[in-house]
Amino acid sequence: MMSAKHLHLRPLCLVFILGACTIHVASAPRVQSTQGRLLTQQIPKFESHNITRLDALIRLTQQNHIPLGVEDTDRELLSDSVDFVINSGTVGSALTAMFKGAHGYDWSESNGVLSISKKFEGKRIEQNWYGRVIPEFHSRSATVEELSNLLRMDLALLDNPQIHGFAGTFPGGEGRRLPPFDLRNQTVREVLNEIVRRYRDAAWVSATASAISEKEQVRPEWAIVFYHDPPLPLSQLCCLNAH
Amino acid sequence: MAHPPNYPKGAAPTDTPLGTVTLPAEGVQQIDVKGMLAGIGLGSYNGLLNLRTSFYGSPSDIMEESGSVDQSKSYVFEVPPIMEGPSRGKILSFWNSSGDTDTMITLWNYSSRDQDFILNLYHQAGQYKLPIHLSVNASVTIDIASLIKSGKPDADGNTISTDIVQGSAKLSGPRGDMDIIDVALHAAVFNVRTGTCTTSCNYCNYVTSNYLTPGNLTEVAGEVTHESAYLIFADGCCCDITLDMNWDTSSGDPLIATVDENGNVTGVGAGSTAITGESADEFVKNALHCNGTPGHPICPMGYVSFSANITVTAQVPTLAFLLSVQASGPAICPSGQAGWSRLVTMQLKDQIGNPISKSYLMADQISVSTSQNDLGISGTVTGSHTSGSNGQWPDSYFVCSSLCPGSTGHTNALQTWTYNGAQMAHVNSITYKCTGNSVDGR
Repeated sequence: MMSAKHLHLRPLCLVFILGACTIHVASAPRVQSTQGRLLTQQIPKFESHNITRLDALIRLTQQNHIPLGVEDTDRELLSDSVDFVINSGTVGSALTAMFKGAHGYDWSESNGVLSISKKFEGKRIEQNWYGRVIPEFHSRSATVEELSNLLRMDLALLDNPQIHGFAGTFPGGEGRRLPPFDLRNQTVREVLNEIVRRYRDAAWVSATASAISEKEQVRPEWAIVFYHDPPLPLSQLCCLNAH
Repeated sequence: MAHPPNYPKGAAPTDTPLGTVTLPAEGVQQIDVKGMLAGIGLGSYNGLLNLRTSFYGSPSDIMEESGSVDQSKSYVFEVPPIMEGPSRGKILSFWNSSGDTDTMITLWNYSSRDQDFILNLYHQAGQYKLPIHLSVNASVTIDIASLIKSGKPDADGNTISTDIVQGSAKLSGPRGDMDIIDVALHAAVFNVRTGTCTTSCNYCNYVTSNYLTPGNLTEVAGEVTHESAYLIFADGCCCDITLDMNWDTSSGDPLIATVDENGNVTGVGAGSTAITGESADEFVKNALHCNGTPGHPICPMGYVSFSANITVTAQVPTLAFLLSVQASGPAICPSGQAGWSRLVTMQLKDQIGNPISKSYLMADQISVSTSQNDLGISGTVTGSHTSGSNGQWPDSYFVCSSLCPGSTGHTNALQTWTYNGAQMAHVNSITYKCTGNSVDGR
């Protein structure tokens, strides 16, 4: 009961601090908290049979046109299969069923984007690479993959402003271009969220293992997942399938 | 024994039974042909006569010898009997037309079908082809000296110069050695001044061996190789019978290699197996049984089966190939930089350049040249890509530089690839410019 009280208080504090942000905690003991509009959104029957948790998550967000950001991926998300049916309910209740048995996963709504992350030792690591602040993200009309690549270069310039040129490759992705937009002093996760929010039918998913502490951060590798109907299985999604 | 003689009667040759001869065991008997002809009203016949002897038994049960005598009963020359039977061709060891010497070649179509032949006369200066048509039971005698003197060109425009006096010959069907012919051939070389005559031996041109090419095939999974089938004849000629093959599409281990009805061998998976086929030609198929027993030809004509050993090696992802360009234009770059981007379709290829149709996690690394870097590239951004089931994936090659768009220089780079974490052998060469880029020159 002591533990439950403690966890019960923390989301309320975050609501107070971050305003529009609500958080759920998947790890036992379960808690109930104030849910945002997205999490309380009613969904039609949803079922998941013997697919990975990430497959189920992308299927859920694809079917309901919910932009998604997944900050931490591990075996429980990439490999563990889930099998459940939600005859009627909300996005939040589907997530509760989906993450049953998983350890430490949080989900929250951030400005219309469903965010999935993990807690370590009971707290969310905000100051990881995804928490780095990009002073200025200036976008011309561009595809989602072009914007994702631009963010990678901006992130590299944070560490080494002396880079005067980049070369390389990025995934082809889909061709629909987003109108220009500018962001100032936003974190990497906020920029990514804004990109998928504007595109709507896409997710960004971290392709790197979770940082287990703020000291053990690795440079983030994320992938853009474009929603397909029916959703592509994880094995066909770049670059999240663990070979 | 029955003796149905064949002789020209009116417009068409005819067969007339002569009668029956009975031989006791180990008995020897001279057949009075003239008397037997008289018995059927041909006692005064003066002309060409073909004599057929038939009996029930095996070829080794009886010996026959025959010769020609003149009207003074003097022996003139041997007329060696010939065992009837189909063959692929008949080789005549020599002909001569020197001085008073001449060569007569006699053909008799004893079969029940009209036949066409090509008599190839080989000599030191070339070849002459004489087409011959023989209807059922028809005979023809060819005088080599007269043929040479006629100076008539053959279908290829060749003639035999009169200073050519000897050579060899081969009689075959219009298609050459692949045709089965049923004909009796006899050649006599004689000299009218000296009154001498000898026969020129003729031999069946039979198949001595057969093979598939390639016979030992090594291919990569997914690779298709066409097998060709050949026969080798006694005269050294080879014959492509690929189009006459029946391939055993069930032969071979289907997990390793398959062969289709056209002889196309497709590697499937690593391992070794053998594919087989046989000639669709019944004479070739039966040739292994050509031992002279009744119902089978004397001349050997081929072999039953063909086989090739197939070794298949697995496809090894080796090359990320720029298959096509979908779009190109100015790149999306950080503030203060500009550049170029190309959206392309990449194709995974194997060690021999064949496409690999399989899904892999493809990851690349870019290494910028230190000696050719006009655009001042010091940062690289690469990612991972998942190839589709066809081995293709969309990719974007880009460059951003603070020197663009003004610079006309270029930067070279090397691109290495891994598939599912394993290194690929081929390294792509990339050239970046402010207004374009190329991968391995494409």
